[in-house]
Amino acid sequence: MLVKVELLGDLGKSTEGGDKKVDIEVDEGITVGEVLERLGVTREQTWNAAMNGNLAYSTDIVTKDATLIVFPPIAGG
Amino acid sequence: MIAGVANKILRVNLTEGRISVDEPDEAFYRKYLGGAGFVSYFLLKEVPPGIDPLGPENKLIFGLGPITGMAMPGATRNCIGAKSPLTGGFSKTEVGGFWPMELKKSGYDALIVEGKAEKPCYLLITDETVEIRDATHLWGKNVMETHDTITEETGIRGIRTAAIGAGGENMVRYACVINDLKDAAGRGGLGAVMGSKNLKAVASRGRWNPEVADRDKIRELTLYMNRNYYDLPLFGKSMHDVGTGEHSMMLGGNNIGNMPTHNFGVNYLEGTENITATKTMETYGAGMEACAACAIRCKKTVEIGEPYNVDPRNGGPEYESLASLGAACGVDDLAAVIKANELANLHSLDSISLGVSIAFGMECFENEILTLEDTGGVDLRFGNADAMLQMVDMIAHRQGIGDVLAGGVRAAAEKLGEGSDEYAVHVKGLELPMHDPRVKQGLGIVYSVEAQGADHCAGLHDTAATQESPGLEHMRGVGVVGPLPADDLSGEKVANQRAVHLWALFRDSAIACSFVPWTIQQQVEIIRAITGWQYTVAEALLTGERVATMGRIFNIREGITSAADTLPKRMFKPTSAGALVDGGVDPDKMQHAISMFYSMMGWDAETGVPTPEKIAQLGLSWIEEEAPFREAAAV
Repeated sequence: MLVKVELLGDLGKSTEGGDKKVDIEVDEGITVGEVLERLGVTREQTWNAAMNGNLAYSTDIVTKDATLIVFPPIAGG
Repeated sequence: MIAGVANKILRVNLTEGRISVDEPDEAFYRKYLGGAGFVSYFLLKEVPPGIDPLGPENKLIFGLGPITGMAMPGATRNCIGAKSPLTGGFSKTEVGGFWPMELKKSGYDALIVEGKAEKPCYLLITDETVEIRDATHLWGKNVMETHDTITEETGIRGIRTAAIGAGGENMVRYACVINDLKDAAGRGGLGAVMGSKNLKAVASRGRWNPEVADRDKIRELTLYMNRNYYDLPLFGKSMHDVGTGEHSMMLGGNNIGNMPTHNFGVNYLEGTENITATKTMETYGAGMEACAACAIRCKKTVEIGEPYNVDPRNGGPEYESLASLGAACGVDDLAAVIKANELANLHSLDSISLGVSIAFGMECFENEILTLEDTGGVDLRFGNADAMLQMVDMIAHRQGIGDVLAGGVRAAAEKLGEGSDEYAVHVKGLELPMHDPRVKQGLGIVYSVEAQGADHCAGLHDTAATQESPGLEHMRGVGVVGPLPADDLSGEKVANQRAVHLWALFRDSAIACSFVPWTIQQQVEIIRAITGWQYTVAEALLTGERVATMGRIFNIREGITSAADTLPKRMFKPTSAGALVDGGVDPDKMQHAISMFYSMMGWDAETGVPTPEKIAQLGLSWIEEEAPFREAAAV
């Protein structure tokens, strides 16, 4: 199935060529963490993700036709 | 001689024109450390319950710590505390810049201002003199004019100020104190307390340096941070590049419902990309600046020409200002947001409470609780940048509807009635910061229980610990477990919040900047190197626990009970759009989490009143005699 991924800010630099928006083909049952691993986003980069407009976690199963937006967590003032 | 401190606490009584110095013993410094520790101690010990926060009986306490003034990143900070005119309870707030270093180098660890001057005055504090000077000619001037006039008339090159503008003079209930020109001791209305005392500014410049037990260790740690901060979690790089509010963080927040758009009612702003820190620097950036001796340099400076004429000396907006004056008001006009932020600095207004108060006014207007007649013809709709800007001036000068909004949203809702309390987004009277507890639910526990009200710097931001990461590892040193989901309110989450809360209160006592990614172990090493004490993480967390418990007791004496430990009504409901359309905090789960928090703090699980055993464990038994609270708690 096709998943749209948007890597914001410095996380975008993890993808080959530095693209920030990528569409990738994945098998059903894949997790958010596994998708990001394939795109070169590592655990060393603290990240949050929104899947179809909701906060998603590393172990969440990616839904069909999902859009993933990945970004660093915001804190501080 | 106690290493790292001056062993002098300066007292200035403005009613009597009396200047004196306390010299506490080393045990006092070790127990309360500085900053927030000093503030909570002196407020509880010396400010009796029931006084008018804007009366001469209130005390304004500027606390430094052993770290203050060290030549290392994030070391130049002070805490300010007083009984809050906004909440009626305990209040403390922290700030950086250069002024704290100059007060320390003048040879003091804290300044306690008592009484009320007959006419406007300012304090000149150097390593040679302490003077109460006439400020009649400064009254009515903004912060920049005040700073420049004091610099000119004292002839002291490099003098630094902590000052108020119109907001403080007019006792806007959320007026702040501005260090130098752009660093805000923002929360709780302590600038109004300064104004109530007719105190326009404190100006300082000094050359004294404290003894340091192990200077080589300080150099080693400083070198480590200067070399590595860029790559350390959680946000060293983006802080250096653009400061708070980097675009991917704000866009990401917008996508998970953490952009408090339209007064926390919508939480999705279409034009978020227009008001990020990255856009700010790309469009109007004039460079990044630092607080004293800090390599991170996270302070934006911006410059805009006609029609706004924003002066780079007044600094640029942090995330909180971008979101509160921008998203909360539905405004994505970056230049207008930057101008509003500059006005907040010049007038000494807390940009968080200011933005939320204007957003409250906008929602009242949209729902016809306020009319054009009430607003003096201002079309106070969400998204109207001109109206937002007009309100900043009207609030600072208490003109028209600005006078109502100058009281903060709780007081404004009481005045306006007609169900407007539904739109009043505050805890204990303190307006919510720009981190929505419907997303960061654990942080909502700290928002609820903290003595001063909703404070985003005092707890764990849940989204930073939802998976294994260097960010989570960074926090494990204080006992954080997980990872845990952001909306989890289990006992483990409560324990995490408690741990980070105590860490934050230790940090605010030390007093270190939360934007420098030190681990707690490193912060403890710094305290050891400065003081020579065998200081430990356990001792650091006890310091934090004392601050939390003393703040709580201060509130109990004021009649503020556990009933005030709750989020605004809006947080228990979904937003009308965005990621939280099915969101909202479960009130029963939150109440259970708050009760667990009380228990873990050694407070009664139902009433939140600290137990005698906890008071004794913290070495605070003096409170039972000298600041009795159990009778008030029983009412």
